[in-house]
Amino acid sequence: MSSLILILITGVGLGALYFLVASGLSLIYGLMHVLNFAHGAFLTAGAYAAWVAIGHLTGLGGWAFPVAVLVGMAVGAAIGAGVEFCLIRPLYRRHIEQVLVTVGLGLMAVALFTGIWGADPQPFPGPEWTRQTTDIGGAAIPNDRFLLIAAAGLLLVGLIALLRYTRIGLIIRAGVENRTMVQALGIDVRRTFTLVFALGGAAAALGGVLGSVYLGSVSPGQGTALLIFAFIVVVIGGFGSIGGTAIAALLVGMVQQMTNFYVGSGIGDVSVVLLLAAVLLVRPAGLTGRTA
Amino acid sequence: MTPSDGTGAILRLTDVTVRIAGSHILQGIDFEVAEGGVTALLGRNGVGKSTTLKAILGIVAADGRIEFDGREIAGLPTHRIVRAGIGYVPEDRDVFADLTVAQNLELAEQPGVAADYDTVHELFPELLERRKQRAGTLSGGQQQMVALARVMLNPARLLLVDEPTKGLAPKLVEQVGDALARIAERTTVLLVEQNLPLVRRIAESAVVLDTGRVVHRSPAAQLLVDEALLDSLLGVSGPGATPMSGKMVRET
Repeated sequence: MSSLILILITGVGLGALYFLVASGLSLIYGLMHVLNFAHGAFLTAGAYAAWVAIGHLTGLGGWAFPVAVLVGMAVGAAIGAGVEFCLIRPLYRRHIEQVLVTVGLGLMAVALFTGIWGADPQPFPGPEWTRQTTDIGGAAIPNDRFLLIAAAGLLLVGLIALLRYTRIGLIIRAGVENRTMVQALGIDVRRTFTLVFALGGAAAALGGVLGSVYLGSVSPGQGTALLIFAFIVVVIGGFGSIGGTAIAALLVGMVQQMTNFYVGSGIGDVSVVLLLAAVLLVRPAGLTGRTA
Repeated sequence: MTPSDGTGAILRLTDVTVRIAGSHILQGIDFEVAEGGVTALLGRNGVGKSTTLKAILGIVAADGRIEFDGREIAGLPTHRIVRAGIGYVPEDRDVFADLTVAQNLELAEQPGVAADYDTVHELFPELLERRKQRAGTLSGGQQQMVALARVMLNPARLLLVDEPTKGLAPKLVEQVGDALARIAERTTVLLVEQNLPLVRRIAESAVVLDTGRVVHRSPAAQLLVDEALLDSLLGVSGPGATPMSGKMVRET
């Protein structure tokens, strides 16, 4: 019983990490039809920014980590907005060029991080309590999983509130349906694009920082590895749907953890790909019916 | 309202060409829209009528001069063209299906402009009753009301309306016609329409396109009484013509 509880909660924790990375990716594609292969770079940049910040904030004691998280998110948001403004905006409707630019940027970012901080993973000094466990029904659950779940829950609630109760959310929802018509109502949708890229960058950076706590280290290829799962989550959930992304992230995290435990360590990655294939066979447009 | 450039034209297209995916859709069209009333843009299917509206709005890239209110607007982003005073009712309505009726209208509100909900609710009281209903669940006629209401909220000087009666039942065609007539009392309308009885009812002037070129300009009444001309330009044979199977034919 305790094993099942452990798998369920750590599965939800893994799904939470995937949601943090995938939510921005889903919104960016849903609104702008941009497949952002540089999204992993936002994640890694945020993680390194927080890692650097935490090294300079030791005087803040227990506040060092939350402040470092905010620094990481701010860096992720700034990079996201900068990439949209400088590289993506001139290439709207030129999808091949967008893919080439974002793939190139992702590769360049990995090389840049390697050049600055080296290829080896750097230990990430998360708060002491994240390295401890909490006993639930006899299962010792690592506290960092609760951190991931809480962060993803807050992000989900925040995004839903943004989408449902604000004008900018209304523009995003309408833009996901029909971007041209939004412009034809006199709305400068480009500002919304920049904002969504910034939001996506901040969420990815949050995923990067908390992913570093989860992994215990930060490394140049961290974003790329998580990006693959994030894309799978977005395809399963349906592009542009935050609810679909959340459900898919949970599903992927649970399936991966369960397979790793019950079938064999490492088989979880294969099971996720099989899950993707199965969902696409049954629902080619993803769980919420939105396709690329 | 005074004529915008001294000639009475609020919109002028000069040698406008549009190429899409290698096809020469508009091949240097020239025409003007006089301020006030309704100008009908007519032609068979696929001659470039909808593309002309999209070119004016900057939704498709166009070469040539497009002047609105005496000011060049070609090349401006769509949202700036709209904010300059042009409203757009697209073919197929393009309401936001996942949003409610109220949200569709709210989205159309422009900052700093008092939205005219009074006129909208007077013309389409049904929308007030259905304000919480998702637009995707409305009938075609109700969606057309939403599409028209969105542009009526703001004080546009020119409305581009693309086949507003397409696919609607006769009773709804009449209702949409009434709304357009009411709108035309205060706003200039450039109307793409296949329903010639409606054109006859509300349009003052007509421009006919054929294979991406302007082939005829005249007062609408003059065109609609000339059966030989209608037949040669539109493939129909009388003023009672109405759309059928995507083609203009005489109403029987």
